[in-house]
Amino acid sequence: MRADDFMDDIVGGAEEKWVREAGNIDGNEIRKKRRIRMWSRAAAAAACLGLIIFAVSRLPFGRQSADNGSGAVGRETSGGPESTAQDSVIPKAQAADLLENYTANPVEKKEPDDAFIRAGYDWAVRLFQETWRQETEQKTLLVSPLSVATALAMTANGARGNTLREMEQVLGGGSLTLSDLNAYLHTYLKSLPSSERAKCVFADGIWFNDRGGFTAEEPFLQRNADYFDAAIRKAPFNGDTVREINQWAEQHTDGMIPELLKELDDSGRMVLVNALAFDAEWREPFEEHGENRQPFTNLDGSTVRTPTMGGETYFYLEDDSCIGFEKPYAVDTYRFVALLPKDETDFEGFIAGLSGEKLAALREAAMVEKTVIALPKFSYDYTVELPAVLKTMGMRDAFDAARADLSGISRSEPLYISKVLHKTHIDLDSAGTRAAAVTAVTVNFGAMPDYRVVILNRPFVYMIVDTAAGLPVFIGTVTGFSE
Amino acid sequence: MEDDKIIELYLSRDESAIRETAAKYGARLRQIAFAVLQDRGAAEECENDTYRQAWNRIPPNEPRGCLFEYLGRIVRHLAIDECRRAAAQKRRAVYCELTQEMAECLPGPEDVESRLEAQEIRQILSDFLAGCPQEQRAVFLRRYWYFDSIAGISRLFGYREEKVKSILFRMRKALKKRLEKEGYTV
Repeated sequence: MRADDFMDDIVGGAEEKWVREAGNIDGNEIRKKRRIRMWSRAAAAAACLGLIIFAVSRLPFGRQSADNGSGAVGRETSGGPESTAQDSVIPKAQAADLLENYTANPVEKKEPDDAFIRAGYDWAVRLFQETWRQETEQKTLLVSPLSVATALAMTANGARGNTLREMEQVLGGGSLTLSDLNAYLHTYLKSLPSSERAKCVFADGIWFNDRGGFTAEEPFLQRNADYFDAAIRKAPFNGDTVREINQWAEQHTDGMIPELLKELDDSGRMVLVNALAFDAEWREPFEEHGENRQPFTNLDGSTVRTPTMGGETYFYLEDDSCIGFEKPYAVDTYRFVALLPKDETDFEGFIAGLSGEKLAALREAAMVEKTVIALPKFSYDYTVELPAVLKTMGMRDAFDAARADLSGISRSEPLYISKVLHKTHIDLDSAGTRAAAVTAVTVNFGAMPDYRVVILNRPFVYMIVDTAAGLPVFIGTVTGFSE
Repeated sequence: MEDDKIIELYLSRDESAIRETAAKYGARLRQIAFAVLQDRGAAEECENDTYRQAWNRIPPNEPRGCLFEYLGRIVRHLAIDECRRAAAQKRRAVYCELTQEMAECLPGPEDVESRLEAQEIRQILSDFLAGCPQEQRAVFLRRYWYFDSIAGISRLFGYREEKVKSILFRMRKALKKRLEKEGYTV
């Protein structure tokens, strides 16, 4: 008899009742019982500790957030340029620096053309609209469609089947394949001009878990090294890895986003990160004449006085729904574009009415006319978990542990995307603009669910039955509810 | 549907028995197969073979009161057989790892003179499990019967992974001691 046969024979023959007991084990119930045991042991200590916590919580430490959720701009926020990563010693984000097996090979280039620009506008507007629509807390928001698209495109290189089709549909608007996206993004990101007075830099990184039997597919890592210059690193996915990823993000956002992740859970297998930093001076700086506070009407209708800058520009925008302007940065490849709805009472409707096509047409029709402008200074951070937004946009399978096919990332375990965390920061003042974005896609081990799901969230039939005879005592339908 | 009714369907050769079995236990059976094979497609094949075998074995068998355990044993054997057949080292890795762990506390096959002795060892294991606290017993069987990963057990029970490893290590050690006491060389 072989050793494994023997093991199978002995252990496989364990008594039915123990097998059943282990099979029906309820983790929640066990944890609850354990908590009760722990609490009863710790009761006396907890009583004393409770007093200490109460006393400490009354001490005036801890930063109070200035955000009142009203959507007002001009708030001072945490982070900012003071907390830079000057002392950071993270190596330069080149794959070769971190894992010499993955040096970037020359790949197909694709210069941005009409198809890419059209898909890019559509993606940007849909991502912005859906984020706005789902946001309930902080309506003063900021997303970087380029950062999110890059992180997702990196991930899509490991997607297969319907998971890939949905990602292509969402990112490429149905007209671009993953190969197109890889080639366009590769060429576009490399072509972004960056100089001392108008800097725009990005970096991509992949960390994968080196514990257990997880193995990342080599072609996947190689494609990301080739197209996105991704730094690739094996890591234990513990507190040190979280610190390392955060340091990396801080460094590649010039200190504007000092903390990206709080933790990595046990089933985390891979984190794919894009970081983008923008720092540009205005071509024509705003003139400063002391603090000039002007009224600003908040989204909720209230009015506040906030530091405002005055100046002029030569690019005026207008269509049937809005007026606006473009103000160039030191290198005219980058411009700040502002849109002000004509209807002062329906900001929501204005956002809902935007489209990629409309935005492109508006910018194309910019009029070269002297335009006097006033603009509040603002600075804020924004954080959003994007899965709900992306699912609404059509990317569903990737987030579903039972449906996701990310077998191109690894065939050793079933995987799914558990998180898409997006963080941004902006400082806009009379000298220029500093902005940063980081997108982290977290890929987790997705055990096949051991339960089925029935959610009665649409019309259904129900019965009350007599189980002895199996006959319905009542039978009915539920087809809807009034508000 | 209740297990007894499903068994009645098998006994009356009603093919809806398979549909009802799949609806009630399909995901759990697939999970057991997946834990061994680490391959979604192969796990689904094992699940389907399990229905076929159940169809062929009931009747004469009538696993009343233990239908899931009965099906679980079938899928477990099928998955292990498939695992042995699979040439790829990766697909064998989980099972090899478990065999190695258990080899620490069970006598080698060469030390067991007859099936009668194997039966005796099964009984010792059963007594041993009966004497363990419920949580520890469940951890042991989740690992060696259901082939759950350490991380999976850790999530299920809310323990740290080190704690799970330590429970298993202590149980293997205790089982070894018990067998040695009964005169087996481990």
